Amino acid sequence: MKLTDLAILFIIIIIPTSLVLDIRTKNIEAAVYKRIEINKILETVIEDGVSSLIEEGGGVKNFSLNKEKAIEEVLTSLYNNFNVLDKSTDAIILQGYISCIAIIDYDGYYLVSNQEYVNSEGYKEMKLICGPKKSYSYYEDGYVYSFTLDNYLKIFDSWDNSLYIDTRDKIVEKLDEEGDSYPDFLSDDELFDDFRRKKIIELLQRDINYTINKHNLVARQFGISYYFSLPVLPEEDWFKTIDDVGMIMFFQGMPIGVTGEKINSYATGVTRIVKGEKYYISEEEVEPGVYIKYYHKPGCTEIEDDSRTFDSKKECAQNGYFPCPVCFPY
Amino acid sequence: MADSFSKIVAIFLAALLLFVVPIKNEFERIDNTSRIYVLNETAKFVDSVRNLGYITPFMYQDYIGRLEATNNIYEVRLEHSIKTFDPVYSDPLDEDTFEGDYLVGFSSYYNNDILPVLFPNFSVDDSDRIYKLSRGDYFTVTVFNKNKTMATKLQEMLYNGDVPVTKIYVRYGGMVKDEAN
Repeated sequence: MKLTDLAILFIIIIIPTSLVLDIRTKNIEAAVYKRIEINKILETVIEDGVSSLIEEGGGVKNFSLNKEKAIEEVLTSLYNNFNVLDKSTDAIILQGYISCIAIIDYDGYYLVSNQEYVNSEGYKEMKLICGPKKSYSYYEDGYVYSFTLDNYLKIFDSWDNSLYIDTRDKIVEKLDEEGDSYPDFLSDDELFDDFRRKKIIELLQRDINYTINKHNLVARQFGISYYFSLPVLPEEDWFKTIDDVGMIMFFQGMPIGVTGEKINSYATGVTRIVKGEKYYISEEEVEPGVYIKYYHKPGCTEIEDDSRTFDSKKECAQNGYFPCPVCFPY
Repeated sequence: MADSFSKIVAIFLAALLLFVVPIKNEFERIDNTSRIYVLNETAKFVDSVRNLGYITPFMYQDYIGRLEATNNIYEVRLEHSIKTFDPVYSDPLDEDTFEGDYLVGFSSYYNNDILPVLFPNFSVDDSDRIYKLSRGDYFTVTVFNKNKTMATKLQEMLYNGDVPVTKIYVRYGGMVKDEAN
């Protein structure tokens, strides 16, 4: 055989494998882009949901959650982004990929999952149904602690049936007065915060895990063959989730590539109710008789009077205030 | 004469087909895979910064470490843009000259502003080595390779000319959703 023939034969052998590999790389690339796209969609969806979650009541802790509207908004936004019609078959399947939505309230949480229910016409239907509220409670040595998203808590003492509802430091003061002993985690703000977060996250993880596992049964009826399980979330994400009133949604099992890749993703959205967003304002005398108006971030050393605030940077600028050169509230 | 000439051509062709073509194919595929990988890692890093509202030295080093796994040298450009609102005064020292209006602008911070916070030249507390972003800011990362990849080198040899060095280019960013306390 001639040398050229050998070379051509070699190319004929190598081309199919090379082509197949090329196609596979392209497929993986397409799947990566799809995953990024879906993640963006989920972010938008959860933001839409969170924005309609809060029913204004005015004040810091004076609000109510409109869970049904938030779920509806999540679904509408999801359908819009995936370009499917409401109540169509596609929409129902899309809904089946939502394995769990957790709504984080100030003193408890709700889990939303797909459940079978009989509608008014007597037909069975799959619907995202919101479960009952569960409080962030923890039991130890005859005491029931109900935590909230800040340092406010309820303690029920089952020994003498007394109930304490207040912030941590005030409850400790009261317990000290009565001569009662209390666990270590109540003694210090930082310790309490760590403990509270740990307990809330434990509760959430256990319940979400259970709900997602239960979704396996429901998903089969949607025709989805995917093993649903709780994805690994970095600790920071759990911490962020319980920082403020918000939502976390798990979206899993949707095929995103021809080589069998499935999406396994989640999106979180938080409001700013508990923490709030405030800018403090002050006037500073830079030269005798010359005042400059400044606005500050909370905690800035230049704040003289913490009763005068604005809600946004825009509002501060509208009233002629400059960003403070010390705390840079840009 | 004609015979020896065709022999040379045959050897040349054979070398090209037997060695150069498969190797070039393979190197180009490595570049492709690297690009997908870099895109994936960049998206992960940027998304976590956007979700959390801060950058820690660990997050950054972890990300850079992952990029290095592709055996290329990358230029990583971080960009943090802050929306600013500035009140309009004709004389800022005179309160009465406030025109009741404000200007919207962006001030941007780059590697030279961000990295010294994460990796200071003097010893500081670990908790101060966090670069904080605010809700509503924009955070973008641009990554491209600085070295010539094997595919580029091979192409330069074959085409006997300059081939653009940048084979892997990823730009990813978005609005920051939350902020550190």
